[in-house]
Amino acid sequence: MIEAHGLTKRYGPKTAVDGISFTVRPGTVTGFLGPNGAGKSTTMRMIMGLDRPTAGAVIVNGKPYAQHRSPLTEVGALLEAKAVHTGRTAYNHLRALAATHGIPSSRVGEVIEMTGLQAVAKKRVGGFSLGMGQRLGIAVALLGDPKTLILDEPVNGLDPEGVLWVRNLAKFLASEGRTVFLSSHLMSEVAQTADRVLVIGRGKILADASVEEFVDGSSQKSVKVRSPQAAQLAELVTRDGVTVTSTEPGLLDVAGSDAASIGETAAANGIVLHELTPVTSTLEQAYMELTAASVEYHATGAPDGAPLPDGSATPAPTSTEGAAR
Amino acid sequence: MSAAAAAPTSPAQGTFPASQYRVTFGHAVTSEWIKFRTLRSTMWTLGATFVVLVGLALLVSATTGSPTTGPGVSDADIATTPLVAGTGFGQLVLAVLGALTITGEYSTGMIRSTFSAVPTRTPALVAKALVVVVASFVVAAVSTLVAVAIVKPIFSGKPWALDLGNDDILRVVIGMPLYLAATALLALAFGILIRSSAGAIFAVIGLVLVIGPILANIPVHWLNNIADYLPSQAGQNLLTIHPTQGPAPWIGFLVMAAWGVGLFAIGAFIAKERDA
Repeated sequence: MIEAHGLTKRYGPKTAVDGISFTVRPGTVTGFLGPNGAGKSTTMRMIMGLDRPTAGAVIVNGKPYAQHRSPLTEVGALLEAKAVHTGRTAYNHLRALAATHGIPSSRVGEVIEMTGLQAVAKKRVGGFSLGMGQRLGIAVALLGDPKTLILDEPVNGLDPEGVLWVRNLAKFLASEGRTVFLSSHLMSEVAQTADRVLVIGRGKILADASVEEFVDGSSQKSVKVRSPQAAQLAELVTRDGVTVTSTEPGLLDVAGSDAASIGETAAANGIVLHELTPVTSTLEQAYMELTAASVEYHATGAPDGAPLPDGSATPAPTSTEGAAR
Repeated sequence: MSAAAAAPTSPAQGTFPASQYRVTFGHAVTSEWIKFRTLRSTMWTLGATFVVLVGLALLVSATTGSPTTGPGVSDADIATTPLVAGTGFGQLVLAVLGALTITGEYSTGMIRSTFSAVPTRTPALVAKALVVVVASFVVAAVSTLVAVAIVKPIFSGKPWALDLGNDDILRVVIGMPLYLAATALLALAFGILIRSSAGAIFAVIGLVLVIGPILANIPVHWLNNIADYLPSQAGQNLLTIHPTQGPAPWIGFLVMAAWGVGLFAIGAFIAKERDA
């Protein structure tokens, strides 16, 4: 269980996390979704007591993280793949961290086996691939057999088999009643792993819902209509809350209405329809729509649509992730 | 789009038994000791310290012919010269070791693993200091004792025999490991404060090898007085048979130790508040 109340982090004039409140419950996998620089990593570091909130508070399993007497058995975290001294072997890294809690070496052997690191455990971490570093980070998170797991971009750098393994692991840990909180900037990843989704953009929570609710709540639902009398139909269906767009002659994209009422309108006015297809939005679309205004780095110029949350016209060029050092 | 906080529910999850594991200071020391000895750089720096202290003792004692004792140079000075010959190099190497013990964690990101495991932070830092200081002391003590065993027969029967019954000579023998361990602590403290390896090493070397000698050589009385109380200048009086300036030998060492402990305490306080 993770509970944040008005959690805020500023780096100088830049607000990385802007007064967010949320609860992550046990027994579920909660995806923490947002574009790069949205404040995901900063939030996770604050949960782990590594960064001090500018305002607000966050508690894990009933207490601020630093007040737990056995923190590694409360919360296991993968905060970044290589929070590891490159000159030490994976085995010694795990052993040193286990020693802080008096966790026996036998447990170190167990997590090495669970994460498939047997072959490289006695090698120095400096030579590890991103995927192996990621597995080592997950091994560290599992070391204390924790009630809550915090995984920042856990599938980064993993091969397809590794990605599948992380998904199943996250689901399995949640099924045991643990709290699993994992971040990703990849929609599809969260869609396949998480039960709930917490969307963050520019330091603010944009959505806090189950994955199904999140998709259903999207305004992207539309109906594709093909008709030789498209222009006439467009006039008839356009009313408050319904927008009609057309990308090619004879094809309409009607948002805010449904197939049944469009079909009835067409029949009542003697309009011929060649196609009437409801288009349900994917999580990907819902996510893009929600975060369009709050993406930190756009490939092309300033974002269109709604004004930016902090009122500035152009996105700041600095990364909140990087500014945390 | 609800961002409102849900009503806090009971944190108890029931299904998980209370852990029998605890973060204790003893556990933190064990962890830091594992970290310390599982890096190759540790073995290299400690090994280099031993080789230089013993090697220079052998070289200097074997080449000591008929030294002229003049004003300010006593037989006890000559007797202890081989033992302290490696001080300059030894303090440099142990300063690097002390600084890297913490800056290596900052540069690699390891510090976040360390502070996640020991979130109150201070026990981890104190454990780190303890391991660095004790290891530096033990290696310097063993090196000095081996050096004594080498020098003693070479100088035996000479006016400048290495007589451990002489209080001043014994003080230098005991002082070497204390001085070098204090240097390592000073470097660790700078490492905590500065966080970058290059910056911390530069700061220690600057303070020990540059600022002190510069202040000491400017013919301004009060600047010389300040120089006498810089950590390295004050501490080296412990290794001098008859210090001609600055604090008395043991006071000098206390001044140096106070620098180390004081800067470490400031560093530990700042590190507790600072984002990792």
